[in-house]
Amino acid sequence: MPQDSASRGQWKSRIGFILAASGSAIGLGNIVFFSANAYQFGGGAFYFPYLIGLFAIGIPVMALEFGLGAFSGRAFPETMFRIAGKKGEWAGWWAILNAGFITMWYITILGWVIGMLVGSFGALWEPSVAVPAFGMESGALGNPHAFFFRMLSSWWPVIFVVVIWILNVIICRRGAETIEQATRVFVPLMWAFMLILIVRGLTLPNGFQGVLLLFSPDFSVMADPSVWKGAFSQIFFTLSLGFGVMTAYASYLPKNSDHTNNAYVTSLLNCGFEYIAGLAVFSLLFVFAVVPQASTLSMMFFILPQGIAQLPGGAGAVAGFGALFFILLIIAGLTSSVSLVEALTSSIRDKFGVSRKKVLAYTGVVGALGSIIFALPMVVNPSLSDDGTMGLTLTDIMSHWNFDYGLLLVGLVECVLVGWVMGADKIRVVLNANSKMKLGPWFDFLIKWAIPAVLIFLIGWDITNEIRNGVYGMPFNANYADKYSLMKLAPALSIVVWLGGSAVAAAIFTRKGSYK
Amino acid sequence: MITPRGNRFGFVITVLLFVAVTSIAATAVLADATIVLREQHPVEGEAVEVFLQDTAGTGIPGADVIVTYRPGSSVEKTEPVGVTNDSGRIMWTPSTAGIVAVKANWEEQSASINVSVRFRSAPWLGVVIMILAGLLLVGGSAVRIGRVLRSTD
Repeated sequence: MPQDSASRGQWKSRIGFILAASGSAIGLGNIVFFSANAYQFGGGAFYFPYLIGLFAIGIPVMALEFGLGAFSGRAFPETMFRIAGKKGEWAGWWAILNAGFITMWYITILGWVIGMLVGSFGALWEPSVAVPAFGMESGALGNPHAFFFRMLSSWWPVIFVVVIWILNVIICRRGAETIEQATRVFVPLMWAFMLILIVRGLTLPNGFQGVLLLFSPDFSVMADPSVWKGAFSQIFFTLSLGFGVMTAYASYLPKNSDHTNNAYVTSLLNCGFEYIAGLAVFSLLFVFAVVPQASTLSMMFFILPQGIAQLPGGAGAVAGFGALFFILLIIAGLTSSVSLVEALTSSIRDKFGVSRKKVLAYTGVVGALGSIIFALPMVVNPSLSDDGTMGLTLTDIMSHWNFDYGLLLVGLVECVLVGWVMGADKIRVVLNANSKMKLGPWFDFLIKWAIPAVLIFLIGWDITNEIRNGVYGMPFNANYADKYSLMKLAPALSIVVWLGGSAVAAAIFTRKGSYK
Repeated sequence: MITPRGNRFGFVITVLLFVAVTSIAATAVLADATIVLREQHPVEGEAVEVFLQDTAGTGIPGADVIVTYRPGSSVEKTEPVGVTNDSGRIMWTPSTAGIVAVKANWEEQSASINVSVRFRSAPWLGVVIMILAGLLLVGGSAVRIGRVLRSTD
């Protein structure tokens, strides 16, 4: 029996909702990935496409997802069902299941962060450690790389992954109520930790020069379409759009909430956090002449720890700031993963009326098993000429499918369904009903035409690259007949598992049961 | 929230780069050579002495020195500096501020170092972007969160 609105629970306050929604949006990528993108794409010049993307895509889609939650008072699949029947519901479930895949490997990454946190109290900062699984003696690979790969080739991440899943289940145990309690502590703490890192970075000699480097523009990049692609993708990903999370969170708000302002404040908090994170990251990188990499994991596990290792003040200061950095990552990641778990939990409860305890038990066990696959200490290429461990390779591949295609497809589908089937003006009426800042017909144009066009461009860009360079960059005519052939086939196999698995599972969820 | 790797091979490339850098470093160790700059943080437009030396501190002459401004970015730019003189020294005037990779190649060996080049003066356009983006993003969120705190719902 599907649950009624009263039993779904509600946020105790609007600020609680804002903290939870911004906590969901602010994740690992905000801390390091924006800085890497800004470095790669012309420093201050990157802010132009980024801000255009924020106001033309990010905030409107955020408002749309909040509006959908307000419109239906339900999670994403049921909302889609109300707009477009069973087909819409299938798309809704597919979005939630795509987010489910992301949750699995995202929590594995958080498990690795716990490992780095443990290491930050000692071994991580030693000149180097041995990595027996890769046949490397001490000194063969410098830290933090050596520590990271040594940790990945051990069983510890499996334990850490289980710990993170238990934390997720505990935080979600009473839905909005316990999520709000956790985010009321975690989100302010996250800002406080980031401010400490900024103060440390800016008080280093020449620290402010790093900030100048971040903002000093090179406008020659503006003619490069990849810069615009990078900025628009960044906005979509960083705001947690296309996960179904924001709709689920907004469904716990009273109908008379100001969702337009909520969308603005959540988006601005997210991007404001990215802004200040850039100050901390760039001051550190500049002072120690460390080159940023366009990869969230490289930045988190290699690049920034390299800078932290050189901080003045002795071993205590290095360990202290290292621990602070990794705790910050864990908090940011946890407030995001909780929202993903909650989006799935609320979707299942809305349709099947199963108790929260039961859903969380199933989700926790299945999710933890999935995360453990990514955390298994299987070294598939000891030469380190590839990702090295199976988990790292699979994470890389899955993030490619889930992000480059999954989220964008969901965004496209929701814009098309709202814009063309339901009518964007109807959702605008819902949003304007309780908003001090009224949305005009331009909102309809964005949802119906402009944003789908941009998303089609981004997806088309990725497909073109796939055709040109091979699936996931693996050439079609490559020789896969070596001993790593199975892992080399992983990109092609993973798309079958991802698309096939999520499509079939979405069909099963759609067919079973019914909404009131 | 979460963000992808940036490009599909982001992490793979990093590991490959790391292996490449390790190989370069290993070569440098074999040659026992290091690059030293007179100024740890040189200033754009001001000449700085680059010294290529072995472990005994003896200069290595005849090495080709090249610099790459903002390595790894889409605006990466590589420029030759010249050849080290008999005492293993060469003068280099950084044309742009930022992170720069300085590399020396000689007799099939190489050594490299990253340096941060300071701005001669604060780039006014960069400062304007910093202020405007800060006002919009951090200021904007502060104003709007203030409204939320004052609201009754």
